[in-house]
Amino acid sequence: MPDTEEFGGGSNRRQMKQLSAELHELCQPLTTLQCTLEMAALTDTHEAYREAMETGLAECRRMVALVESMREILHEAVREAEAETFEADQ
Amino acid sequence: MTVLIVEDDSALGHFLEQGLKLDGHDVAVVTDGEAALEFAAKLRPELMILDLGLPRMDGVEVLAEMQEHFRSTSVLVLTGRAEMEERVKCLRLGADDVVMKPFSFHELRARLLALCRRRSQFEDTVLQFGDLAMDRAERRVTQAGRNIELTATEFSLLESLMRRRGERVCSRAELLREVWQMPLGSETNSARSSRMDTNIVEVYINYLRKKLGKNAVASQGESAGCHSVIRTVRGEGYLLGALEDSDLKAGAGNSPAVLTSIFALGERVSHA
Repeated sequence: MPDTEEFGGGSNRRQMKQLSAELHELCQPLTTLQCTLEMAALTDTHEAYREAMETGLAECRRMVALVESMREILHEAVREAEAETFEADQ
Repeated sequence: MTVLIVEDDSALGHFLEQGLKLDGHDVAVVTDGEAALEFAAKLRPELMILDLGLPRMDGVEVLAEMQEHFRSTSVLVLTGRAEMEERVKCLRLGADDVVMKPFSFHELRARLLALCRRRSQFEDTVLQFGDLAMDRAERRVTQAGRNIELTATEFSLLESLMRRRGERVCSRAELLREVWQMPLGSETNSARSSRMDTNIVEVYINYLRKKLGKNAVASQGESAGCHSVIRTVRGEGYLLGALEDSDLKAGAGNSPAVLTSIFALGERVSHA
């Protein structure tokens, strides 16, 4: 995990914590997706592949939502860091 | 193994349950910390797969309770946090292993097998059930004090049954995995191996039944009490049970073939 200073100092601590929590959340669907696909390959049945595809799509939707949320947090952090730099330059 | 999965993410819990069942384990799933402890008390699982972020009671608290009350259960912790300190904390609290999310099912299976191996090292060398005694170090089996000559496969098969002490049914999938090292899902795989098509489990169960049956007849009069038999639990698997002397005497006049069928139909016989 990068140091908070890299993201503009103490003012971005909140975003860092949020990002850390989102990253933790991202691990859930990613694990389910990976394991479901591995299982389907192991069992090698039509039913297993179909179930893996359905589960995979649902987990992808969860991941897309989490990535969107992380992107927003990151944008907010960048905006705040730029504002701080601008104020310091003034 | 009896495995209790404690995971609040229903999709992941469901998938883990399916995967481990295919591997021949008996699996139960709960979604919060308090239920985990209730089930641990009820099921006495050999292994708990424990997620840390749980509702009602945190995974770390569950781990501490497990260490205090259910030490015989091995605990494998799943965590989505990357901090090394947390993994160290879990191991210090009594976890047997820690796996970081996201993980591969192959890695989880390999770690479970490693835990099984470690557990088996601490199991008793001599297994006992009814009139059966198995010395795993000397690879010797006796029934009512008489030696029974077994092949390596028959020995492994009987060992799998005796380890469950007649308390838990041993499924065909479990036997295929433990005795014949069949891979995951081989039982349901459309491309079955030729060995599977020969009903190998049933064949070896019959070999064992014949040997146990012959010995039980031979030892009649020398020892009173019950004789160990392999019961078939329809649709489930096999279980060690006991047959009273009186049951045995009722079949004593039968030919060995008929007597074998009495043993084979163990589910229809009353047990002590």
